[in-house]
Amino acid sequence: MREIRLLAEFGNAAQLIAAVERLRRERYHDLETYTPFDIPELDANLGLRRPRLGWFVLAAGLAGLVAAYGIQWWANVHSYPLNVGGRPLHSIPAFIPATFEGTVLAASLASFFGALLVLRFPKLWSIEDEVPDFYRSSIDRFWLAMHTFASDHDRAHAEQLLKESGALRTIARVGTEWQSVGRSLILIMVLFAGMNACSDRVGQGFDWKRMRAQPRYEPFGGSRFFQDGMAMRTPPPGTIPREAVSTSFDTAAVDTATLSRGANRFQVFCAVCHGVAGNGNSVVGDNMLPIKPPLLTSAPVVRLGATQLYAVITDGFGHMPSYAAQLTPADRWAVVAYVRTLQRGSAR
Amino acid sequence: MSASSATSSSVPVRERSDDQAARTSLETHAVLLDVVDDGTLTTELLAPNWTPSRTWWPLFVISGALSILFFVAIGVTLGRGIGAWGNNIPVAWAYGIVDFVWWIGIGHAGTFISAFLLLLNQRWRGSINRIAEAMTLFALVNASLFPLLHLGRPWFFYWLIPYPATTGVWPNFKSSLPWDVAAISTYFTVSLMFWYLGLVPDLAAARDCAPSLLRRRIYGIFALGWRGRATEWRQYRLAYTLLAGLATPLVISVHSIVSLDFSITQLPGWHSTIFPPYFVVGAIYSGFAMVLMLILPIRRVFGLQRIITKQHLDNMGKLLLVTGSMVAYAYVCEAFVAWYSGDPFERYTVFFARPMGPYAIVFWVMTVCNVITPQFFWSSRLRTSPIALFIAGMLIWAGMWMERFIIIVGALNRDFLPSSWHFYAPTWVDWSLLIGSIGLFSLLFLAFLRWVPFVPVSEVKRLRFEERRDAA
Repeated sequence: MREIRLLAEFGNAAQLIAAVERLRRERYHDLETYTPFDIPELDANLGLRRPRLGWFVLAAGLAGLVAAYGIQWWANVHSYPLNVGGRPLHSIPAFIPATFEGTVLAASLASFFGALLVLRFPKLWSIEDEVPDFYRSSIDRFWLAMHTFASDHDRAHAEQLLKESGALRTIARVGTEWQSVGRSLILIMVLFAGMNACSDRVGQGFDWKRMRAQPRYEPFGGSRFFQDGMAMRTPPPGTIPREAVSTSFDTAAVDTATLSRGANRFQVFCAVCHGVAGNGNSVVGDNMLPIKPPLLTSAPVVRLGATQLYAVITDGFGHMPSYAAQLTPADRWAVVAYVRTLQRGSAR
Repeated sequence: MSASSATSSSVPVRERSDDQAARTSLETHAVLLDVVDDGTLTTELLAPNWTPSRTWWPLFVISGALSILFFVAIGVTLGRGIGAWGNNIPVAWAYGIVDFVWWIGIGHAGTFISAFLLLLNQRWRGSINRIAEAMTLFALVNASLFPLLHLGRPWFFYWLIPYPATTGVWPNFKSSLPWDVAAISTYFTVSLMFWYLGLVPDLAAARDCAPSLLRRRIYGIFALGWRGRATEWRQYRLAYTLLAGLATPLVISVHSIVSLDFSITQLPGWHSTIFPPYFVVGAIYSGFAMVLMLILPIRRVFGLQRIITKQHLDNMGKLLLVTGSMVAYAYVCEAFVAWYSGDPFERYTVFFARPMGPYAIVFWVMTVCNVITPQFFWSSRLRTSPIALFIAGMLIWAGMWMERFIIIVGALNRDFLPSSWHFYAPTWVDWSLLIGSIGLFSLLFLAFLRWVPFVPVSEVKRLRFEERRDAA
């Protein structure tokens, strides 16, 4: 944001237009006006260049056109060809409506957001806001700002011209953005002061040590709390590891009921990706990126132990999430048993 | 003072003056009446945003109640399914689609007024375009709800959007339903951007007039930092014109695509090539009717007779007459093509089922409302009478709903096989959705009147500037 070195306020549009024209005739450049309504008559004398938004909009429109047509072609011709009574898959007339909408949508988004981008909007503070009564520029006053002068004499001359053109008042200089930077600095300092106030020793700086000192027991450390002076406790008699409840499985217990339960659970939860026969033949599996689910009947999976299969179901592996929430430990073992059945079936 | 007199000669009036004279000769009334000064104008036009008028609260409560009815009906539709509606084979489309076509048609007038008339340099549009654009937006909110509810499982509506799903299934773009999705979502987005961009300078004025700090902040954020610089106006003018240029073909495409939902089927009464233009004209016609129903009370309640003058009423009356006559021509054309086709089913639908079938009463009321009503506006006295225009607006507004009913239900209930003919009767849910959607529209519109500058203040100021310059 540049410093404003001369600012003038006018009571009506005609005076502003005349003043701009006069300044321009006197070879003053770098003018900016602020008006409550659009005054295209000013553009020529302000030396504004033609905005180039149109080219951006055109490019966006063409990109929208290609994208909309491309999506339709990809979807209906390439990725998911659907034969409707033998009609052509690549049916140009049917693709026109959505292509048109895509073009208009992209071009419109480009004109709206392009304009915001060029204007650097949103811009909630601007140097002119520091001028008292400047806000009337959106209501009924017309302002003119000048940024650069060759000499102080030039500046005085311009001020004289503006007064002659009917300016209600002129303002010599508007403070730079340092005012606002200063305000932010004060705010930041106040915030730091607030954080400092959280210390339990007010006035002695921030207590950084508290972050590091975290009293706790180390595994083989001592403790004054227990009689034997050790921090670690022996589990009560008869305690078994949490995993031991479900990781043991009696292979002799596999019966028809277990297998049919396993088949049922497999078809519900596993077959969507691994295929009903465990051979990976499924729509989801085919479309999975970047790698497809492994064939359950392939040699590497056959070589896995039952406990390893159980662990994959419980904890997941690669892309596969954990199925612990969906399958009880007994069900998981049933699924493992069923997978074994599938593997044997395919080996034969 | 010498400066200001020098001004009037130096302002580039030269190429405008001829054009100006030609234009004003068509205007029988002033477009803007004795506005004191810009400051008073701004204060007066923004005053309704700070203090609500006395009629606002009762209207808000009534619309709120009707909106609750709407949401109850939506809840019933979601809970019980489409069976809660009166639809049944062969009348698979009924109120849901009638309301959809009706609302989306109403939306078209807003874009017509703001975009077409902007491109045609019609300066009278400036006073009413904001109201018309808001009407478009809120009508589109309603319009987009109906086809979604009609899906049966609205929570899967995103299946209509092309996205790479693991199922590998894509929408079928050879069906008209994905076209609808593209058209409606584009139309809503573009209308919203067009409306908002036009609003920015007025939001800045509201920011600078706001009576409290909180309001100043809120309007300030929405004004995006507009300061009225010449560079800003220039960019704004270009972006706004570009959006208008894009919205103009868009608005024609939207109702054309809606009409393709019908005309690409084989049903007699639907399978017709005149449907796209016929629908577009009907849409603009119904929208003008609704614009009148909104503008005339607003003009009276807020005392805007100086801003929305008799010239505006006169122009709206003429537009009703023109679009109404085009709609009448489309009716005649449709009947002629049905006869000329020689197709017995189509002849039966148009010449027997419609005028003499189970919905004959709707057909005749519709014909009177849509064909006879606008013809009164050959009279310049009626064109400037707010009461005549309001009544006509209501009749056409209702008549256009009936037109959609006749097209949709009237064609479906008599299909090829007489054994499957079916009389369609709406249920209370159907009625609640229709009435409730009007309530939701009113609710949104009242919120708009309360919190948004509903007359484009900066455009009216520009108009005042031009008027004074031309006078001088």
